[in-house]
Amino acid sequence: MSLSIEYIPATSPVHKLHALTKLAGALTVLTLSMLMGTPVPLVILQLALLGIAAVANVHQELLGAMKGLLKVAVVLIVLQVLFYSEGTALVPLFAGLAITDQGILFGVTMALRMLVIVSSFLLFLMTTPTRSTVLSLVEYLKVPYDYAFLFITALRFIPTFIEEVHLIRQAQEARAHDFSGGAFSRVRSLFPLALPLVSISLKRAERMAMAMETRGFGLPGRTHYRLEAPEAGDFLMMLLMVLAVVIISLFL
Amino acid sequence: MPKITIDNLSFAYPDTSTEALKEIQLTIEPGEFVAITGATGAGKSTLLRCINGIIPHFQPGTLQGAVYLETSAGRSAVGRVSTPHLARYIGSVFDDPEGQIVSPIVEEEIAFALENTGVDPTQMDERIQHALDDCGIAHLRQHPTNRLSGGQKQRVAIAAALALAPSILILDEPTSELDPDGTEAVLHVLSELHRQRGITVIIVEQKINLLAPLCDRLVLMDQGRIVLEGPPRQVLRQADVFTQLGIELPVPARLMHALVKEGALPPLDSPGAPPVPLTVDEAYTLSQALLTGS
Repeated sequence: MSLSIEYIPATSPVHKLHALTKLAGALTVLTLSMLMGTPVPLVILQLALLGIAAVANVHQELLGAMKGLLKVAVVLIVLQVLFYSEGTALVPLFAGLAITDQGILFGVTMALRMLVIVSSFLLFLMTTPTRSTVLSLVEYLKVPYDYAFLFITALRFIPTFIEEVHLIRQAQEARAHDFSGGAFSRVRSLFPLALPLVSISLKRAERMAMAMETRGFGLPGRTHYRLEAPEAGDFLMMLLMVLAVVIISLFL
Repeated sequence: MPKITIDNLSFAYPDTSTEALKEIQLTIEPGEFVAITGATGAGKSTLLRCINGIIPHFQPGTLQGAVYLETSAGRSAVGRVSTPHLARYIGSVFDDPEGQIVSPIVEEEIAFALENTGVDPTQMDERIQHALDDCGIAHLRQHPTNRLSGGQKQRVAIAAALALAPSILILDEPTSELDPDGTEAVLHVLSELHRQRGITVIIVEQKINLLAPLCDRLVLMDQGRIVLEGPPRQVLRQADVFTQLGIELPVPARLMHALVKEGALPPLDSPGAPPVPLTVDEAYTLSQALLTGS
């Protein structure tokens, strides 16, 4: 399953929208998908999301992710069909269970709902730089900066961390440590990786804390370089979202 | 431009019986380029950490004596000013290029210190550009930090420290993890900053052969004490001290000492003795003069 949650840089109308607008959009889709109880509107919603992805030029990535999600969807449908007992029985199964028409409908709806929700958040993450998201959370939703900073820095260190794992792994392999074998022995063979990794990371964390202190981290009155403010288009979009939720909840 | 006075400074890390620094006495004038060298465990990094305030603010231990910053406004002990406040006077660069970069994009990394100290965002673009220009990495402004080479990362770290326009730059083995190209690029930036901006540079480094031609003063440390200090040409005369401490003398100086030993040159302390060469070029000129007999 190839779930890409990386920001894909591009200049599209979707990328240009404010992070808050896109976050609100993802939440709107979430709300709408909860309101919709039948497959057809959900399919329309999913197609709309694909349309937005095409405008943002990230449809390839979204389609790839959807392909991966289909497997999860199938599992969801099978589970619902097996254990949903209301409706007319179509095929009787063992122990009083049966495949019912409503079971199929419910399963498909659930799977579509999952697909729609995950796609909308993927779309949000793929078109918004993490920094913009975090900054809007700090500035407009009043999340404390320390937590937001923790999050940005964690993301920044993922590639470093992976590189270190490779390095330690190669070092251990060069000294004839065996990482192969069955599932159990493979997990056990990972322990010699853990200790150096933790020790390196702790040392690095200490070093980084020093580097931050010597650059004035923790002083009061922090300002933000490149703070993006929502524009007229953003407010318009948010208004449309509210309208969509109101209208759809009235008609469904 | 603050002057740094280190007065009778001793420091011991917790749970150790020996002191990492023993009664250090040193004055660093504004605009001076000071290189500190010595074997591992000589106390070089500890001394730097006392100057930029990591000791005592960050690193616990027993501290005696004090480090003072003397400005026109008066004299203040580093131990009494918090590290974030010191950032405006002292920029620090560490040895690990990876562990000191906090942002995903170069320009955000430079902006970090500006944001922390509450600089007006409208002034940031100019100050970021200025810091990047000073380090010769203006073209990397929009690059992701994790795709840079070690030498580029260290220059980003220097630019990030320079963003606050400190008058003192402190570097702890900034080239230890760099290849020769990266090392040269970083040292070039430092010498330019020192020459053109008049920034005080205090650097701990093993590569004295590269630093001797750049620095105003060379400080040699051993077991927590300053063993030798002075202009590089003067310090490099004491070949026996270097040998005793197991520190390799730069090749040009070694050539001269060998020539003196052979009797081809007069003893170093005799009048009329030529100065100790610091670069290969100087050593070449000296050898050529010997050959032509002038």
